[in-house]
Amino acid sequence: MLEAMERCPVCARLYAIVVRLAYSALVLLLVAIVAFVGLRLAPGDVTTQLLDPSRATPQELAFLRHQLGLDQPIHIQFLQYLAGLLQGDLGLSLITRETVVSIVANAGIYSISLAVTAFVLIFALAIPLGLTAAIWRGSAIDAAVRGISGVMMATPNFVLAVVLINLLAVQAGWLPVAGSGSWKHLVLPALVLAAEPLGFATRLVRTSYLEQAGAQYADAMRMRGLSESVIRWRHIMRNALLPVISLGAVQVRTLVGYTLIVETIFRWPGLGKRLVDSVLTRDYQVAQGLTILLAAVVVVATLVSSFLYRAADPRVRDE
Amino acid sequence: MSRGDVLLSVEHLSKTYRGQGGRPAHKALDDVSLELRASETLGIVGESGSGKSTLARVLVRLTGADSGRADYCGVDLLRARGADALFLTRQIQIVFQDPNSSMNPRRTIRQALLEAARVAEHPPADIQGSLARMMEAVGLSREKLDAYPHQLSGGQRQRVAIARALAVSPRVVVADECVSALDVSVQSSILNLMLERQRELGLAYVFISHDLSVVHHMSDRMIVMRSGRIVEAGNPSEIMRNPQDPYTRELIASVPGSGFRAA
Amino acid sequence: MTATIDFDAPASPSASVAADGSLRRIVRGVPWPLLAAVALFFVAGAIGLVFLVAPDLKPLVFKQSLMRAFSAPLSRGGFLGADQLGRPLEWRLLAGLGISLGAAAAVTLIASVLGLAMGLLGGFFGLTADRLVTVVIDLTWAYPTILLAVVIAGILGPGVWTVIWALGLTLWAALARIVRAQVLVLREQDFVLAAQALGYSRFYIATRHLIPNLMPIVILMATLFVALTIIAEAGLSFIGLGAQSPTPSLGKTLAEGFSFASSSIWPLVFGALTMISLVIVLNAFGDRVRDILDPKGRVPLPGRRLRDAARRAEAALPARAVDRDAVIAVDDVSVAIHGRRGATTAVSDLSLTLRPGQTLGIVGESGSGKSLSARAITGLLPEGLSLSGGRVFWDGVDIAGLPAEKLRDRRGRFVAMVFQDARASLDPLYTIGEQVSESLAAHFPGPRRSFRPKVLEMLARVGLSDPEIFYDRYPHQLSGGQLQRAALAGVLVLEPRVLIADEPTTGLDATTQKKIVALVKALQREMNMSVIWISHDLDLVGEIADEIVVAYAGQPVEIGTVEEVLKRPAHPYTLGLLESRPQATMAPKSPLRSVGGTVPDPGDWPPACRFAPRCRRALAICGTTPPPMELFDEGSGRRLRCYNPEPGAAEAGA
Repeated sequence: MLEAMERCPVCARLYAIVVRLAYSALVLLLVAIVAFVGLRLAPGDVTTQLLDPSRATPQELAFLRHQLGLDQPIHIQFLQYLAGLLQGDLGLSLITRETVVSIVANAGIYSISLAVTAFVLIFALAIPLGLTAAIWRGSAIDAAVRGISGVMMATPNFVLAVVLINLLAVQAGWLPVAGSGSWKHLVLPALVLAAEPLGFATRLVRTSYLEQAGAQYADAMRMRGLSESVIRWRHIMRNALLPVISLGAVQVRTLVGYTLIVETIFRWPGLGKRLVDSVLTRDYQVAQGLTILLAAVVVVATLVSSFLYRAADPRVRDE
Repeated sequence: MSRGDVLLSVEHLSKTYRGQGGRPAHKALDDVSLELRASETLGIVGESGSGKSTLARVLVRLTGADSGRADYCGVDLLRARGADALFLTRQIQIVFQDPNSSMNPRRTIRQALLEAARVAEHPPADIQGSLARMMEAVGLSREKLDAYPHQLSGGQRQRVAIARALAVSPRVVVADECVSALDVSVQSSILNLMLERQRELGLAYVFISHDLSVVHHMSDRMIVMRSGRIVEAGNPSEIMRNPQDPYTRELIASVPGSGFRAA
Repeated sequence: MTATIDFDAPASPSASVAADGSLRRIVRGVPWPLLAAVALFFVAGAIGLVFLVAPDLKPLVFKQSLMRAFSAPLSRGGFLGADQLGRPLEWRLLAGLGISLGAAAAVTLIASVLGLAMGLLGGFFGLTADRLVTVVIDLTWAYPTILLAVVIAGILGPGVWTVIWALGLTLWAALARIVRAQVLVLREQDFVLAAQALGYSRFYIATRHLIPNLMPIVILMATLFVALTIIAEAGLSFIGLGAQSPTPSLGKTLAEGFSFASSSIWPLVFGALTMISLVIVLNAFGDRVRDILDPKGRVPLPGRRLRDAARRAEAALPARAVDRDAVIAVDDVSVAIHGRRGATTAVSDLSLTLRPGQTLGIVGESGSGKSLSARAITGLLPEGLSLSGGRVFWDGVDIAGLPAEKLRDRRGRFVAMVFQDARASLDPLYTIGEQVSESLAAHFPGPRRSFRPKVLEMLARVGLSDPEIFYDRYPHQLSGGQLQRAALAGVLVLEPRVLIADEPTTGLDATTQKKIVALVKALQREMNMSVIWISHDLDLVGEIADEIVVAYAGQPVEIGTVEEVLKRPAHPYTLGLLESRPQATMAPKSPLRSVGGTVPDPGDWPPACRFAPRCRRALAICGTTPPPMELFDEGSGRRLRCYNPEPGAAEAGA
C-alpha cells in the first residue's frame, strides 16, 4: 500500500484525512469512557438520591440498583450505555424524569444561540480591530486597542457580569437582569461571554500580522515593485490569518467552558446551566450525557479546524 | 598499533529511510565500503543528499544501518552494546557543523568539556587542570572556560567542539562539515588546528565536506559520494588531475577557480 | 606563516543577550513598579493565607487588638464592613488573595511538572510513548477546563481543592503540547547529538540538556497558569462549585456582594477591584516575562520613534552632483542602524559606479556590510535603518528625491534583487506561477491570467523545464536550486536594467551553483543587464564579475578589475583572504595561511584603519588616521584604502 501512496499524492491525502477522522472517533470514545468511569467514582451512588438510605430497606436498595443496572460489571454497564448512545438514548434524568435527549433539545437551542452570538462577536470584532492595530502600529489606535483588549483579557467574566448587571440592568434598567425570553435577555450574557476571548483574539491577530509584516517575502515583493496594498491584502493578510483558524477551535473550547459559568449567572436555560445544576443535584445520567456531548463539540470543532487549515495552507496538505 | 594499520573497515553498508505519508522511501547509503587507517585522513566529498552526513552518524552510532558490516579494531560497530559500546565511544568521536548549536547555550564551556572528559577511560586526577590544558591545545585561553557559548565567536566555538571531541582521547575523529559555517579567514585557522592536532596525537580523521578544495587539502585519501553511493575513491591529487567518474568531473568543474597561488 | 594574533579576541564586547539565568533576566528586565506590585500581592496573599490557616495565630490577634486600639467602629468589623460571620471585609480580601495565590501556586506546580514530564516523554522517548502521550493530551484537551472542574466537583464535591485538581489536570496538556514541539526541535541540535555520541543516557540528556533549555517556555506558561487559575477559581466559587462557606474566596466574596448589593456595596466594589487589579498586574507581568523569554527570539520591530528617527535622518541629507554615464552611481553612502542607544553606522564610505552591461562583484565576509550596501542601492532598507550620508543615483536621478510611487514603479523595472534564501522570498500560500505573474501585474495593465504565456516563457528560460507543471507548484514543493530559479524568474520577467544578487547561490550545491551562475550570465547577455553580485566567495566572484569591490567592516577597502584584485591584490586583507583558501597552499596537509582575529562588529570598529589590529603590514599611522580611498592606478582607475599596500600589486613597470 505504501507504494500506492508514493504514486498517488491524492490518495495519500485522502488516507491522511481518513486517519484523522478515525483518530477523532477514538478520542471521542475515550472521552465517553473517562466521563462514564469518572462519574461512577463519586462516593455514594444514585440510589441514595432516590431513596432515603436511613429509611429504605437493603432489599429495596438492592432492587433499585438492579433496576438501574448498577449491579453489573462496569464494562458491561459502559457497553450498554454505548449501545444506548448509538441508538440516540442518552439516559434519563433521575430527578425530573426527562430524557437527556429532550433536555439537549430544549436547552441546546439556548446554548447554541448564546455561543454562536458570542463566537460571531469575537471574530467579527477581533479581526478588524487586530489588523487595524497592527497596520497602524505605534499609533493612538494601536495603543487603545491593545489597552482595551488587555483589560478585557484581565476581567474575569463573572466580574464583568456583576458590573454590567449592576450598571445596565439594575441602575439604568435598559436590559433585564437575568432569565430568558427575548433578544434583550441575550445581550448581557453574550457580551460577558465574548469579552475575554475577544481580548485574546484581538491580540493574537495583531501579533500574527506583525510577524508576517516583517517576513522576507514582503521585502522581496517590494523589491519587485509590488504595491503596499497588494502585499498587505493579498499576502500578509492571508498568512497572518492562518493561525486564526486554529484559534477558532481553541475559542470553541473556551466558550464551552465559559458558558457553564455565564449561563448560571444569568439563569440562561442552556446546556451549561443544566449541567451545573445536574452536578449540584447529583443527577448523574444528565451530567454524564451533557459532559460527553460538550466534550464531543470540542473534538468536532478541533477536527473541523484542522481540515480548514489543511485547505488553507498548502504546506500541510503534503506532510 | 603502528601507523598505517587499518582501524575502521566498512563493507557494503546500506541504509534506507522509510517514506512517510506520501513521500517515497529514501536510500541514504547504498553499498558503501571504505577503510580508515591510523593517523590518516579519509576525505568524503558530496553534495546534499549524497549520504555523507548519514555515514557520519552511523560511524558514531547515532543511527543504525540496515545491512552491511562496520568493524573498528575487531569490534562490530553496528551491534555494539555495553562495554563494546563504551569502547567505541572512547575511540571514535565527532565534531559537528553548526557552531551555534554545537553547545548547550545554558551551560558553560567548562561544563561542556567536563561532560566529555568524564567519559574518558582514564580521567586525569586533576580534571580541572586538564580542562585548562585542553583549551590551550586548541588555542583558547583558560579564562574562556567559564564563558557561555554565546560569548564566543563561531571560530572559537568550533575550537571548543574540537576540544570536546578530543577530551576522551579518541583515535578517530569524524569531522562533519565542521568548517562549512565559518568565514574563510577563520576556516583556515581551524583547519590548521586540526592538522596540528593530528600530527601531535596521531589521530585519524574522517573529513566530510561539500567543499572539494578543502577536502583535497586535508585528505590522504578521498571518496566522492553521490546519492548514497561511492562513485570515485583514491588519491586526492590523482582524482583532481584525472577524474574517472562523470559526476566527479562535474563536481571539479563546478569549483570556481581564479588561478591564484601563494608562493 | 600566521600572524601571532590572539585567537581569544572576544567576538565583540557588545555581544548580545545573555542565555544564562532566566530568573536573572526577568528580574533585570521587568520595570520595578511592576515587580513591586507583584511582590506586594504575593505578600498580601501570604498574610491572608496565614490568617486563614491559623486563626489563633498571634498576627490575627495582634491585628485585632491594633484595630481595637484605633477606634470603636473598627471593633464592629473593620473599615469596610463585615460579613454575616462578623469577619471584617479587608480580612476577607486578604484571605481571598491568599486562597487565589495559593491555589495558583498549587495548580502551576502540578501543571508545570506534569506538562514538562509528558512533553519530554512524548518528544524524546520513542514513538510509542509519543503516540500515547498525544492521545492523552488530545483527550484532556477535549475537556474544557471549567467543564472538568464542574465534573470533578460532582465527584469530589465542591471546594477549593476540587478546583485545584481540576485545573491542574487540564492545564498541563497545553504546556505538554508546546514542550513536546520544542523537544522535537531541541533533540536535533548538535549539542544533544554530541551528548548522545558520548554515550549519555536519554534520561541524563533530558534532565541536563533539555530541561534547562525548556525553562523559558515553562516559566512563560506558568505566568498564564497563574492568571487562569485565579480567574477560574474565583469564577467557580462564584457559582457555588468552588470554595464553600466559610472559606472566604474572592469569588465567594463577590457572590455575596452581588446578592447583598442592596445592603452594602463595598464587598462587591472592593472584591471586584481586588480581583481586577490582581489579574491586570499578573497579565502585565506575564507579558513582560514573555517578551524577555520569547523562545522565538524575534527581533522586535523598531517602534515608531526609531522609525521616525530614521526617516528624519534621511530627509536632512544635502544634495549631491550627478554622474551621467553610470547606470547606478553610489556616492559616499553610509547606512545607520537606529537603536535605543542612538545610531550606529553599519556601512560607511560606499562609493561605486555601475556601467551598462557591467558585472560588479562585492566581496566580504560576515560583518562587511555587503548586504546592507545592496539594500541601500535599492533604496529599500529595513525599518529602523536609514541612509545616514551620501546619495544613490539611478540613471542619473537621485532616488532620495523621487516620490514613493515613482520609486515603487522604478523598482522592479529598473533595479531588482534576489536574496540568499529563495524560499523565504516567496509566499508559501501561492503558486510559483501566480507570484511571477504578480511581478508583471504590478507594472502592466491587465488581469493576472493574461500574463501566463510570458510567465511560462520566463520559467522555461530560467531552466525550469516543464514550465506548466512548475506554474502550479507551491514553493514548498521545490528544491533550493529550483526556488532560486523561480525567484530569478519573478524578478527577470520585468527585464530590469540592473540585477542585484545577494549571495544567491550560498547554501546550494556546487553543481547547482555553477548552473545558476551560468544562467545569470546568459540572461545578462540576452537582456543587456548590469549585475551586482554579492558573495563571500572570492573565486566565485572572480568567475562572474568584471570589477570587484572588497569590503571589510562596513567599508570598501579595494576596488579594481578581477585581474588586478585577484592576481595582484594590494590590500593586505584581500591578500589574506586569497591566501587562506586551501587552493592557495600547494602542499596537501600543510598549514594554511590565515588571517588571525575576528571581524569587528558595527559600533566596535577600530578608530582609524579597521583592519589594522589584524594586519601584518600595519604602520603607526594606521592606528591614528583613517586611510582614505585613493586612486592606486591612474590608468585602470583602481582604488585602494591603505597606507601600506602589498608589494607586487602595482603593474610591472608602473
